[in-house]
Amino acid sequence: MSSAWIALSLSLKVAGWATAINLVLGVATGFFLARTRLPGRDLLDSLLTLPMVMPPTVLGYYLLVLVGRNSTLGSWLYDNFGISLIFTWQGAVLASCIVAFPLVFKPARAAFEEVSPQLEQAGRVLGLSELSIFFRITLPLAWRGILAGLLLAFARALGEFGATLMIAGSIPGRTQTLSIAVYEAVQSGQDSTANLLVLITSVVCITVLLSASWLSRSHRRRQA
Amino acid sequence: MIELQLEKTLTSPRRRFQLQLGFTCSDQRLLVYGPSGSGKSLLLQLLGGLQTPDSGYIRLAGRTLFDADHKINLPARQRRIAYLFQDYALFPHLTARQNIAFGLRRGLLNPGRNICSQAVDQWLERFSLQDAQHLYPYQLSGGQRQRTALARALIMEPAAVLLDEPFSALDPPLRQHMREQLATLQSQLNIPMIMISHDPVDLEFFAAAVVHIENGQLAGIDNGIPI
Repeated sequence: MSSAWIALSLSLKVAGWATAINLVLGVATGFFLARTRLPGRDLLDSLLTLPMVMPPTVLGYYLLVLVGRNSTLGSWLYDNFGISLIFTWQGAVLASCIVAFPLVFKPARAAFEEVSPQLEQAGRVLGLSELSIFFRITLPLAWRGILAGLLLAFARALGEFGATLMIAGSIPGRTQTLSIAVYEAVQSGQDSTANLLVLITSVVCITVLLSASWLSRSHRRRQA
Repeated sequence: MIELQLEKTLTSPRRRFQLQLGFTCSDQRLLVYGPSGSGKSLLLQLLGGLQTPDSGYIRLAGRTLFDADHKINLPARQRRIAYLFQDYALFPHLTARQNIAFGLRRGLLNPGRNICSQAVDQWLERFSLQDAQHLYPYQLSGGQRQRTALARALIMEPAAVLLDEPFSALDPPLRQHMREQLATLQSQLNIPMIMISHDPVDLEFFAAAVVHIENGQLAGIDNGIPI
């Protein structure tokens, strides 16, 4: 029974970290793509969207190749910092992060592109620095669109299975998240555990989705 | 009051536009007059620091804002110029009061809804906006919006005011009223105002000096000297 709650708290921890990291990286990427005039920006956009289209197991395999103990990056991390991402919850965060990344940067890019450049110019002639303009004009106006993306990313990270299983495995209490625990429970015939896990996951996901749609609705109302 | 000579070429895949102007004028009220697409708005953006000329110089109200030969180019935020955008560019996420107080507050945070400021109170009173101060821009009438935008710009005690077709978004009766209010304001504040317009009424009513622009070139000047 209590193992279900351990899996839930682990899932929330992993999804929370993945969302927090995406808040910074996804918003920065979205802002960059919205503002840059680089010719390769649409190609970059497509490349960064790949994690949404590719099968998570393939993504997990790539990650294993990239950060596994035998890889250049993986052995460097281990030799210099003693960090190993394989079979750890941090590895699960990395997997969730990458899978959910497009769900943050794409709406962020769209939200930034909607902000009228004239409002930023108005800030400029009123004497504000570029940093102040970002935090006082651009970000507040794009914020609801970004938040909706973050909620979806959180839900996606919560449900992450394939890539996480490949890189972090399924160690109960350490890397066994909710969605992996459901699979294990069904495999070993523990129906009551599976029922509970499924119920918890559904409630969390529905809450997240309802919040996301409520946010995007009030966003539209404010713009009108 | 203003002395400038500048050149700016804009290129897009579809068209190439060149603005090439030089004039000097000592009147406090200057109207830049010309058909749409003549380069009026571009001129205003160059004055305000929102675009950079390719060459030339700009001197306004006793200060050099731009001089290509001496590598001077004050950024928009240091020009101390009030800029009234055609559709006002009020911040939609802030109330009228917060919009007016916007430039007074430095740093990364916006002024709060109830920010205390004598200057804000004075401008609200001057423009009869007290009752509307806690409304958001979309809740304001056209005239209130314009007065909020003006107050937001003038509270910074600018050295000059630039107005981009300030009356085009208003209905005719209100238009005349705002014309009068603006003219009064100019004589009270006694700072240079440069307005762009394609409305002949503004020629008679507002202007002391007029610069006519056509297709990016100076087509005529009243009360000024071409350079």
